[in-house]
Amino acid sequence: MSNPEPPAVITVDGVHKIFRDFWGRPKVHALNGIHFQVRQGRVFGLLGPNGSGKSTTMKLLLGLLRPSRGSLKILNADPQDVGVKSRIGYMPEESYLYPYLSPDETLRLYGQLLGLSEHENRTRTEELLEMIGLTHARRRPVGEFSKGMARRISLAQALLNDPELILLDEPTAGLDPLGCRQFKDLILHLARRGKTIVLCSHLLADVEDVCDRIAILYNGRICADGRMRDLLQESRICRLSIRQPSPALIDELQQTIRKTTGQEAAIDHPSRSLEDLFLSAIRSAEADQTRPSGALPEGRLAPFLSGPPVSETTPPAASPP
Amino acid sequence: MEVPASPSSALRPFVQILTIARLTALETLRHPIFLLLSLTAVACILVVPIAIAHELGEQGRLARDSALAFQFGFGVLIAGYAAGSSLRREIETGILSTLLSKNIGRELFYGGKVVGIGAVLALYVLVAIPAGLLAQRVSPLNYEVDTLALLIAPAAVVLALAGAALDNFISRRSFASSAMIHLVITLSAGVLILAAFSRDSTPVPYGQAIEWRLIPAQLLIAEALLLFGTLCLALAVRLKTAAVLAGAAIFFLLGLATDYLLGTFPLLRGWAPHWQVFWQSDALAAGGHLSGDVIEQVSLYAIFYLAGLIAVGIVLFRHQEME
Repeated sequence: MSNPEPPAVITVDGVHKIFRDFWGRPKVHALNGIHFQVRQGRVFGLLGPNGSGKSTTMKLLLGLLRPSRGSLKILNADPQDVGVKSRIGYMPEESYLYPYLSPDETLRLYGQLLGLSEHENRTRTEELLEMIGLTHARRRPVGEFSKGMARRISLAQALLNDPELILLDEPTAGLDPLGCRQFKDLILHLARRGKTIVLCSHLLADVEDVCDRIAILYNGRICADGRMRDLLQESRICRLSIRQPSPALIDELQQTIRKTTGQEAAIDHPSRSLEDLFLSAIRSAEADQTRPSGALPEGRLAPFLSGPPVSETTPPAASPP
Repeated sequence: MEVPASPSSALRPFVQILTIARLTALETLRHPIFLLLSLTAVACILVVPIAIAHELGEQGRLARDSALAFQFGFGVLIAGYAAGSSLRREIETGILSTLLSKNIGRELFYGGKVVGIGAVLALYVLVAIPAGLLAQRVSPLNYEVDTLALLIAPAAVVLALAGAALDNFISRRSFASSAMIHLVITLSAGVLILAAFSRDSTPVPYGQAIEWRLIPAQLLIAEALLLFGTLCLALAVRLKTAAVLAGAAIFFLLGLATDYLLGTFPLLRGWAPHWQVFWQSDALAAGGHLSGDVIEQVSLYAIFYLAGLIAVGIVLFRHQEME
C-alpha cells in the first residue's frame, strides 16, 4: 500500500494579480491565473526570471497583497488571517532591517511581536545569534553590517518562532559559496524536521540542490511544474558509471552496445561542479585559517531547531484537499 | 510547532502595540537628525530671546512667544520627519513586509506607530519645556542679565552632550538617543536650581523665580504637534515622502488660516485643523494664566481630532497593499 500524500499546506487556485495606478487603472498584470499546491514537509521551488511574479506570489501568500481573482489557502487559513502568521517564517529578498537597532534588539523585538514568552525569547535569541555567528556583534547597529551579515539576521528572524512553513525569497543572495552551502544544508535539515519550505530564487543550482518540487513562472504564468526529478530526468537516456575502467573494458562495452543497439555510446569523464571544488578547497584551508562568513559560521544549529521532526510532535497543520 | 504562548497572552495586543511603539521610538531617536533638530530648537529657544529682548527692550512676552514658536516650528519638522521616516520608509524599503509577516494585525501596528511617534514627540516636549522656562530667565530684564541663568543654560546643554558621549563610550548606547535623555535631565535640573534663586542670584522661596504658567501653553503646543504627527502618519500610508511633506504643509497652512480662508464655509471650517486654538500665548500676557476651561476645551478638541485622524489612518492602512 502506498503512503498517502501529506496534507496541502499551500493551495493557490487560479490567482490573478493586477496592480493598478493611482486612478485604479490596470498597470501591471503580475499573475495570470496560477495554480499550485505545496504539501507538508516538501521543499518547493518557485523559479522564474526577474519580473515573472515570484515575489508577488510570496506577498500574496503572506497576505501583504490581495489577489485580484482566485483564492489562496495557507495552513488551511486565509493569508489575511493574522493568527496563522505565528506558524510562518518569512525571509524577504532584501534584508529589510532597522539600521539603528542591534541584532539582539532586532530579534528580541520580533520575538515580542510573535508573542514569545520572555524566557523563550531570550533563549531563542541567544541560540540564533550563536547559530548565525553574530554573538560578538550583538550590540552593533545592523546598519554597519555587510550584506551577508544582514542576511543572517534576516534568516534568524524568520526562524525565531520555529515556524511550520518557511517562505524564503532569494535566500542565498549576498552569501559566499560556503554560506550558500550551509544555507542549503539548513533547508534540508529543516525539511527533515517536517517543515514545509517555499524557496523563491533565480539561482537554479540552489533550487536544484534542495527542492523536491518546482514551478517555473514566466510572465505571471506557470509554464512548468512538478517533481524536480521528473522534470530533469532524460528518461530515454541511460548513464553507466564505472570506477577506473580499463581501456579494454571500455572497448568491449562499446562494441557490445554497437552490436546490440546499432548506436555509438558516448563516453566521458564526469566533472565536479565548481561549487564542490570551491567547498573542498575552502574546507581543507579552513583547518588552519580564519573562518569565513557563511550563513551558519559556527556550523551548528540553534538547539530549538534541532528537536525531533514536527510530525512527531504536532498533528498535521492542514487537512488533505 | 506552536509558538510558546506568553504567560499573559490576553495582554498580547498591548504588548504588540508597545513593541511597535518602542521600535518606532528607538529607530527615530537614534537617527542623528532628531537630535540635531532638537538641539537647534533648544539653541533657538535659549539664544533668540536674548538678542530680541536686548534690541527691542521688551522682555517676557517675546521670550515666551519665541519659546512657544520655536517649540512649535521645530516640533512640526520633527513630527513630519518621524511620521515620514518611520512608516513611509518602512513601506518603501520593505521593512513593513517583514513586520506584517508576523502575527500582528494592521490596526495594532498602526496604533503602535501612533504611540511611538507620540513617545518621540513627548521626549522632544520634555526637552522644550525646561528650555522654554530657562529662556524666561536668560532673557535680559530691563537690560540686566541673569548671570546665574546665563551660566546654567549653556552648561546644561554641554553637560548633556558630555554625558551622552560618556554613556556612548562606556555602555555603547546610541549617542543621539542618550543625548536626548540627558538633555531632559540637565535642562530640568537647571530649572530646578534656578527656581531657588532670583535674577540677582539671591535665594528666594522655592519656585517663585520660574514662570511655571508657561507650561500649560507648552502642553497645548504639544497636543498640536501630536495632531500634526498623526496627520503626517495618515498621509504617509498612501503618499510618497515628498507628497507627505507637501500635503502636511498644505494642512498646516490651511490650519493656520482656517478662520480667514474658510470662515464662510462652516463644513470645511469644521474639518480643517485649527492650529490657532493651541496657541494661547495671549492668555499669558500681563501675568495671566491659562484657564482650566480653555485647557479642557482645547484638549477635548485635540482628542476628537486625533481620534478622527487615527481612524482615517487605520482605514487607509488596512487596505494598503505592500507592493
